[in-house]
Parts: sequence; C-alpha cells; structure tokens
Amino acid sequence: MHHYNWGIPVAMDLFLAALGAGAFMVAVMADLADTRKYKTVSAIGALIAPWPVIAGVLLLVVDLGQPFRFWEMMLRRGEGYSLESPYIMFNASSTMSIGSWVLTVFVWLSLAYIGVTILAYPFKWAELLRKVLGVCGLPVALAVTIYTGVLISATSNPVWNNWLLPVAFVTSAVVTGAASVAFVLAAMRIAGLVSEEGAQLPKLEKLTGGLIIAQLVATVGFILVGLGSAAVMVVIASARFGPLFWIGIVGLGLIVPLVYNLKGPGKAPNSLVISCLVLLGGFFLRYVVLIAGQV
Amino acid sequence: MIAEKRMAMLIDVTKCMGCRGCQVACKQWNQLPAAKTKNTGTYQNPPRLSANTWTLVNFIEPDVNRDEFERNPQWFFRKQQCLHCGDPACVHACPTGALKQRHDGIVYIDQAICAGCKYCVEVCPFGTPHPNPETGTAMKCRMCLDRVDDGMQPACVTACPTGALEFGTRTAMLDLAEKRMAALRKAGGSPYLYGEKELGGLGAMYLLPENDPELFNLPRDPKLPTNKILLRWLLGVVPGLAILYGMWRYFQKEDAATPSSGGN
Repeated sequence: MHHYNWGIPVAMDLFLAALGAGAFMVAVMADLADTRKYKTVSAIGALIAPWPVIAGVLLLVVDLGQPFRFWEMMLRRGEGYSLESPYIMFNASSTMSIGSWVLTVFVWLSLAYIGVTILAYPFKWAELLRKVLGVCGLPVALAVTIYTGVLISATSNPVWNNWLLPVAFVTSAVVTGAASVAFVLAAMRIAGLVSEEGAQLPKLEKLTGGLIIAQLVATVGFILVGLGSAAVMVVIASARFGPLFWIGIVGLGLIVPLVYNLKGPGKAPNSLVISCLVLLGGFFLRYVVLIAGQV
Repeated sequence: MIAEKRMAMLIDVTKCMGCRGCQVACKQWNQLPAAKTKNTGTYQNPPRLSANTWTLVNFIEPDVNRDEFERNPQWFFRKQQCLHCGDPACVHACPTGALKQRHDGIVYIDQAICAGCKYCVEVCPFGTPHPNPETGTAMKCRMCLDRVDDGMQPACVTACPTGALEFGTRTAMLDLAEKRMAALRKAGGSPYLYGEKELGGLGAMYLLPENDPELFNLPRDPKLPTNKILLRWLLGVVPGLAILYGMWRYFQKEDAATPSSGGN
C-alpha cells in the first residue's frame, strides 16, 4: 500500500470543511434575503455548519506527524523555547498558517451562530444580532472554502498547481453545502418534523442545481487549464482515476443531480438520494485531485 | 533577509566520480540509519532521498539502449541534497515556524517545533524534505550547521576526494566557480552555473558541463510555488462573491412560478 503524504484524512477534511462553510453561506444568504420565509432552511444550515468543520480539523490534527504539536501553529514559543512567553504564530506567506487560523475562527463563529439562531426563536432582538454575526462570518466562510484550493494549488505538485483549482473547490463547497441543507430538510419532511408548505425543498433543489452549473463550468476550466499536461491526464484519463472522475464526480455527482434538481420536484425521498450523490461527488473531487497528485 | 556573510556549497559535477563518500559521511555525522535496499538495476543507492538519506549521488544514465550502455557504461553524477534556496518555498510555507533560514543562508528544520504537516514536502521545487514516520517530523540536509558554527566544513565536503565539493562564503564559491568555468571554456566546454540566480540564488550551486539542467534531473527555471498567492486567492474570491450574490438574489425571488408549491 502506497503511503501518501496527504491521504484520505486530508481529502476528508477538504470535503468536510468546504461542506460546513457552504452550509453556513446558504444559511446566511437565506436569512438575509427573507428571515421569515427561510427560518427553517437558515436554521438547518446554521446547525450543520460547525460540525463537519470540527470533524475535519480533528482529522487534520490526528493526521499530523506530531498531533500534540498542533498548537505550534497557533502559538509561537519565545526565544530559548520558553513556554512562558508564547505569542501568536502566524505566517502570512503560508496558506497552511492562514488556513489553520481561518478554520479556528470559523468554528467559533459558526458555533456562536448556532447560539443566536436558537435565541432568535424566542427573542426578536436576536434576529438582528444573527444577521450581523452572519455577515461577519461570510468572509470567514468564504476563506474556508477558498484556502484549501490555494493551499494545494500553491505547491510544486503538477496536478495540484492549477490556477482554477480554488474556483473548482469554492463552487463544490457551495454545492455540497446546499445539498447538505436539502438532505436534512428532506429527512425532516419524511420524519414529519416540518410542514410541507412553503415549497422550501424545491427551492433548495433548484439552488443546488444552479450551483452545480457553476461547478461544472469551473471543473471544465480546471481541465482546460491543465489540458495537454500529463498531470491533468492522470485525473481524467488514467485507469485508476478516470472512471471515478467521469462517473463518480461528473456523472453521478453533478450531471444526474443537475438534471433532477433543475426541475425541483420536491419529492423528499428522491431528494435524499440526490443529495447523497452530490455529497459523494464532492468527496470524490477532493479524493481524486489529492491522491492523483501523489501517484 | 540574508546577510552578505552568506555561506554556500559548490557542487562541481564535472569533478564528481560517484564514490558516494559524501553520502556515507552525511549518514555518519548526522547519525542517520542505513536503509535496506533492493538492487533495481542501477548503482544509485538508496533509490531516492528520504528522511534518513539527506544526500544522494544520482547515477543518471544517458538516453541510450541497454546494450550500448553495457558496452560503454557512463553516468552523469549529481549529488542531490537541500539546495538552501535564497528564497525558500519551505520557509514561506511552514505554519509553525519550524523551518528557518539563518543569516548565513542555511535552511533547517527545528525538530523541536515541526508538527509534521508535510506542507514543506509538497512545496519544495526539488523534492528535498521528507517526512520521518519515526519522529513525525520532516527532515532534510541542514548543511551541518553545527559544524559550520564551529568553523568546520559540512561532513560531505570533508569526505570528497576530488574537490567536487567546496564550501565557503557564497562570494568565494561564485569566484571559484567562475575560475573553473573559465578553465572549462578554454578546453572547449560551455559550462553553466546552476543556482547563481535561481530562487533567490541557491546556497548549493551546481557547476554543470553545459546549460542543460534537465539532464541532471534539475528543473530549468524553478518557480517558487508559494508566490502569486494573492492572485490564487482572488481567483477564488471573485467567483465566491458572485455566487453569494446570486444566492441572495435567488432567495429573494418570489417562487410564484413553482406550481408544485407545497406538493409532494
């Protein structure tokens, strides 16, 4: 078994962090557009947001060569390595350093966002606070979705060093974020926890569909930018990754959900399956790009 | 960043005969364990750099068929090691500050700080640092900084029997390289000094017989992958903002056109 420097735990984190931040974006934008109408949708997004990111961060920490030194990315020990004078560790030219701070801030912000989401049910004043916190969280969430693409594209790895990788990852983040909200909403409808009125599920299905178009454009761009190089051929044409790319990511993860979602039929059981396909496609995108760069 | 007292190694591949004394000296001084290797049909051994092999003489075979090679075997030798870039991608990329560049230009990994994220492994244009599964940290050549601090030369340099390895101030190494290149030119060669300008000027420079770094498995015009970070971010921010705006407008839209409203 080949040992990868960055293996499945990292691919999992790239996927989970993007999903959480994407769900957060859906929650905030829905809330800003119409607080009343999207109360449930926005609350679902808010309640999803931090957990995948926390899980992803834990995976990253465990995957470190020295897990208990994760704090070396947060605090810098003073001269002579005395623990008495730590100060903030931040390396502006390191996307890894930026990323670890962005993730940290996002986790706390999105946890606070859950707090105000719950508060906004009994207290009307919390609604404004929720909007403010949401708007403050947007750039952080956006940074979470972008940094992973920058992180691996700013390397000497020919597969990863692709200018459009950040775009492909950003679009995939919002796609999986919207799909995760649709999944939970569909599950809640099946369980009878939310009423059928308001047609929120078709709305989310169509949103996912529209975002998938953006991701398809970005994915085509990603291929075109690297076309002709051996690197992209590993992703799209090798026996190991080609089928996974075309069937898993493009076919089942994007085209099938696109065709289904654009109509927005709002059938909860179908929506569960389609959302799962989108999420699997999102994971495989990270997996294929990450591993194909290391074979 | 680097003071004028920058130190450097000159690796003259035209003088290297592939004895691998440097490899052994490196292992001995740095107390790096040997690795069990297999014969893969090449004299290059171990097959590649690793956490326990910080320098390795590459036995590069010319592009001829096997029979011809057996009749007249010849190699291009290149001592592979950390090139101690003047503008090191690894130092840019390190999130813990474990990767440091000293004032004399030596780039090393502080083993007490490295958390083992392996980002340096991925950004290095030369594939130098390697993760050590035993210590959980990344490892690479550190130009025997302990010896240099005591006024000695790196272990590999002291072991070299042909003068293919020289160590001193970078200015002195540039002068020496120029002298040797002048002699080679006089003999009809067209030598090239790799690392004079590359990546902020390398701290280990190769004197190549001609301007053909690829022949020696060196990237021509190596790029710092950690630069143009802002542009990479912008390429994510612009579509990201557009998507957020689109999402907002979409959620504002009345969905009167949805006939299936409320239906299941």
